[in-house]
Amino acid sequence: MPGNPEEIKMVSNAMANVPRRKMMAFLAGGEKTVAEIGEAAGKSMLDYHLKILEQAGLVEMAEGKVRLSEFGKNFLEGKKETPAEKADLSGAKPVEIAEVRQLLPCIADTTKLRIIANLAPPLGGALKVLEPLFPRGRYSERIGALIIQRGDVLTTVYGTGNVTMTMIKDEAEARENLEKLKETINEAIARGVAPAPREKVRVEPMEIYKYLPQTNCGECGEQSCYSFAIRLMNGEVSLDLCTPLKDPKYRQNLEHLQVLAEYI
Amino acid sequence: MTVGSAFYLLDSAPYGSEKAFGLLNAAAVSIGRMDVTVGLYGDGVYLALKDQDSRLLAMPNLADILYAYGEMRVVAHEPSVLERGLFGEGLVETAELADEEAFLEAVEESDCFILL
Repeated sequence: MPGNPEEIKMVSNAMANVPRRKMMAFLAGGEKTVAEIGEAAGKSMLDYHLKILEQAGLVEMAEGKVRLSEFGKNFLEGKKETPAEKADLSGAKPVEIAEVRQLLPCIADTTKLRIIANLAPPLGGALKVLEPLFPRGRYSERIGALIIQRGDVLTTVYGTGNVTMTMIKDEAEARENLEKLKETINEAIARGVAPAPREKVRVEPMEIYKYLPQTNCGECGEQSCYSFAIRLMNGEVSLDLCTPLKDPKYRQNLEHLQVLAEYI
Repeated sequence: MTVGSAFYLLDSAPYGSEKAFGLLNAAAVSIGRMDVTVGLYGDGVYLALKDQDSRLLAMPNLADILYAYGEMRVVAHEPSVLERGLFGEGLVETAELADEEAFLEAVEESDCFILL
């Protein structure tokens, strides 16, 4: 069974390939022949992929048949989320900003920067548990990273400690955002309890528009209430800018919008 | 809106020359205009190794560029990784390992093929 760091990396690299992930998922249903695997996951380079899985200790092969090894079964089981795992932050240690390593130009806007920084110690799998802390956060299993959108700024925190940020004005803004990120994460770690999974509500611009005054008054600086709704969705403006909403007749609309804004 | 796709091939070691740095910069400025794939082949696969430290070489950390421009698809030629005994090494999370056929497919799918 893989145990040392090199063997663990071999397993990770063996699973960093789409056809092999398909094969593993197919084998979760029990022992299969090589031909059956070829039918289900593709015949291209089949022997090669099976050999890689075997070398990583994930499958066992004999007489044209392939099955998951005990380790392979445990590996797939471990990939499944369990409530107990999700609630555990006890192993995580408070993080520090180790360094801001590089500043590179942004592609979409050359007046802005992309930064690469590092948080230490690395959070590893605990990142997934932290996802609900960020209203527009999403954990990507594929790259093992938490992706957070706040206004124009897109932050990606990798389990290995690397952090990238896009659409940053300067290094000072980068450091300020990193400090906020660090504080949010460390507060959760200090509590030792994972935040409750956030209800996934998808808010559409049309839903926001429905509760706006729809007068297209332009007081917010936008040409129409619909463009205001889109910018609100993108986190570029706040509800306060819509002054007609302060009128008592829109009180209920404002309440609805405040609830929706929580899910943006 | 993207208008096509480009495959940038790096087949030499990332440090020791400016080839990889130049290729990554060219690939980065193509983002937004076209779909960009960086293919790592031969000694180029060393670029996919995690925890690179290039400070002593007085060069930027090139793996950081892969992290910074996540829109770039990074495909590492797996047989090259195996030949160099790197399969047990940590790789940059955004890199995909591609077998011979999948790597060739990625090349063929692209409108242009760029080799510096």
